[in-house]
Amino acid sequence: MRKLLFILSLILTMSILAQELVVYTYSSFAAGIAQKVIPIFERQNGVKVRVQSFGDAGNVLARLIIEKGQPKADVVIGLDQPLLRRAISEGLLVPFTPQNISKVKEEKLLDEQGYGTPFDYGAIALVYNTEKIKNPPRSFKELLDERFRKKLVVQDPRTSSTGLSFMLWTVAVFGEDGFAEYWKNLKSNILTITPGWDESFSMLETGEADIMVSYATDGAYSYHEYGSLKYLPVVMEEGAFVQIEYVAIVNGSKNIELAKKFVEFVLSEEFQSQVPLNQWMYPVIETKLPEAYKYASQIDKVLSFDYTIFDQKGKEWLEKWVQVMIAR
Amino acid sequence: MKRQRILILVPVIFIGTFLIFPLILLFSRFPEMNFFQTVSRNSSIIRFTIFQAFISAVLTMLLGIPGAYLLARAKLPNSLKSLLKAASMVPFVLPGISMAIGFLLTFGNNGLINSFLSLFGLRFRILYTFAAVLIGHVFYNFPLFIRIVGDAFERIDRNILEMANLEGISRFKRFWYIEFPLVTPAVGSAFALSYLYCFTSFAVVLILGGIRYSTIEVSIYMYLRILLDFESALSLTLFQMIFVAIASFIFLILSNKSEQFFGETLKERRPKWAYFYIAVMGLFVFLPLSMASLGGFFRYGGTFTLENFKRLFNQGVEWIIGANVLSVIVYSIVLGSLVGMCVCALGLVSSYASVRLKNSLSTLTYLPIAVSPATMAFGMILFDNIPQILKLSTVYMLISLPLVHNSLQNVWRSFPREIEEASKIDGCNFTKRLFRITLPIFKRELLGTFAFSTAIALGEITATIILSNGQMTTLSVATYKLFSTRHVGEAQALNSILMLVVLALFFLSEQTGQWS
Repeated sequence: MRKLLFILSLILTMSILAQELVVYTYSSFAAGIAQKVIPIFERQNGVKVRVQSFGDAGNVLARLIIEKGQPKADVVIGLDQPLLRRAISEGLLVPFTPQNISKVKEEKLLDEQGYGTPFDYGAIALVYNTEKIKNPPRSFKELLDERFRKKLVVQDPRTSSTGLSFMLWTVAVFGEDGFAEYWKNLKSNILTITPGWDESFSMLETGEADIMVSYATDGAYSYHEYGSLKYLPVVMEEGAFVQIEYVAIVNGSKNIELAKKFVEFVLSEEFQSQVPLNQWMYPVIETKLPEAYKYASQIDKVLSFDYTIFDQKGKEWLEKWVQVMIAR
Repeated sequence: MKRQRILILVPVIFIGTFLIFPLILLFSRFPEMNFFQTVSRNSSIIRFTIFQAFISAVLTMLLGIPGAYLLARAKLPNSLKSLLKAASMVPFVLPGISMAIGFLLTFGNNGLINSFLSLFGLRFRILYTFAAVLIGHVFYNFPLFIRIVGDAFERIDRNILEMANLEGISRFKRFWYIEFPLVTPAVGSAFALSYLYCFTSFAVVLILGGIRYSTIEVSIYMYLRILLDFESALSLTLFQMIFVAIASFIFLILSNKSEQFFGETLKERRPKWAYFYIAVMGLFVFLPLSMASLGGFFRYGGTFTLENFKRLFNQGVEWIIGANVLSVIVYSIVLGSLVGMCVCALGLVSSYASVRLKNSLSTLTYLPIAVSPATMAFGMILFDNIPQILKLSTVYMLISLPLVHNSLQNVWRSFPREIEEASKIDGCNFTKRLFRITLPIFKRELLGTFAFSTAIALGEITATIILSNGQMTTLSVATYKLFSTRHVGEAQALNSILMLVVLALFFLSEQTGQWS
């Protein structure tokens, strides 16, 4: 009995002493890669990590905004460029640069404001059904071609992050004055607009549409999971629109030291090697890519995009888009 | 009577605490509202929203009343009737993605109808038109008429109708002069609900209507989730609340009659138009519905398969869901039933209070329709010191309250006051009255609304993923996790299971309700 009590009290004190790191993220991170890498971090540091997820990355930032002042999180992982900017301007993060930052293979991936540390990146692409389309569009200009009439399905930028990225891609290519004109011309090739990625995908699956807006790694994914090359991605030759995801420390965290260790961990080989087959994104350090990635699009030319303008003009662009698309 | 007035407070306190208070917290967290500016920026969308909802609701009514009549009064085998009624409820809890699949497979360019027509060299573009939006809304709101108006048809005393038959009037005249006036309040409730549900429609308009159509709810989503512009989202939410309050108040004035016609149902021969009607509904409601439930049986690429179910149960995805599939199903059903019981109790009190004590109370119970689940959930985050599970349960209760309240309200309307008063004079106490009189009379509606609110709790996704921190796993959260990690096939298989569970739930409630 006494022994039992001793063990119980030992466990109790240990659990009080052991620090707990609270990490906010989106659902697929929590359900996917987190299951693989978090136990490693816990073992290495003898700590407990609590991962909390709230759907997509937008929801995560919304949560942080609402909780501002009394944050419950120490670390947030999974904000992309526009969301990171917004989090910084809301004062939700503290600046931090890990010591191993030099491992990042491209300078372009870094957050120049010094708050976020990149952990993966990917690109938006057009994914097409190879059984129906032999000659996919190579450029935005070619996408306007007659032969793709009513074949394309895109996501609504008002409700979907891939949809928003695609719209911003056209802004990056045609400029904020020219993109609306492009959409006006694209309209006759668009079959419909879906609220999310899932519905678009179901349209591809049921043979309703032949091309959809999706990710550059889709070919790798379907090859790896289903051994199928029915759907392949193509990145427009005007340049890739790259999404970079960051990890950052939450302003008001009571576990700053541990949070810093976590950010360092994100750039480690243990973490980065899990990125390709769990996140279906590219790792940010030099590491060997799995075989399936030969079916992912090469990201050679990267378009630069100024997110400061997006902060000011994002709403206006969306409203312009609505006008063009909804106008009769 | 004095003591009874306290009952009014029950729904007022519930809605005040769990809907209005969290909203006030949100409003005070983001005080710089730009109400008029936001509303005027969205004016064309607002006009379209109001217009499409009206057309949709009228069409649903025209198609819904004959269906309600048929199911309530025509002689049909009981199990078939239960099955039809149960199936007609499933759309209500159908996730957008299943709806999309169902409609694509039925009406799409390669769908069943077009494949059939192409045999004759014909081809119709049905989807991505305004007509498709209407079909979608009829599909979703048709059950309201089946349930609410159908129940009213069943409660019409057979003596009245048999008397009319003896007088020798035609069936149409009998319907127009006797039955229709008796079910008007129920038609009013069903119309009001379907108008308001179409008003806040989201997925149907975007997916089926194509690029030209959009509703206020889409704009709210954009502000809230994409731009994180809480101020604009709240402005439009406020606009929707005001609109819903005014509209439901008008409906209340137009349809507020208290008819007492409680009695045994008259069963009649099927009218001739029944076959035509069944064919039409089969095409527009049951065909897409069956196709939707088949989503799980498709391979990545389009052919029939059981692979998705195998992958789902072979522990291959257990680590993603974070629990065993079976335990997720059981957990969801337990949580859902608890919510169902609570909302039935709440609805019984609120509908009693609004029919017997204060009519305008029902305007209040419509309000949750105006607030999207995401907004409710964000408000709940600010509501500190109450446990997570309570936050989630109250959101589910709020979502189902408008329908529960309305269905039960119509029973109270047709429930003879004399029975209540007689039992009081006879010295029946409250519990005895509840178990001997009220519950038996309400049995069928209570079971129906129980099934409905349980199904809502099973199927709700938006608020659940925001509030559950990813720690609690209901069926819908599990589906979301699978979708978001690109396990599309497994997610659709789980969706098919969800639909079967819901169908079974409604079927059982119908069957139990028929025992007397």
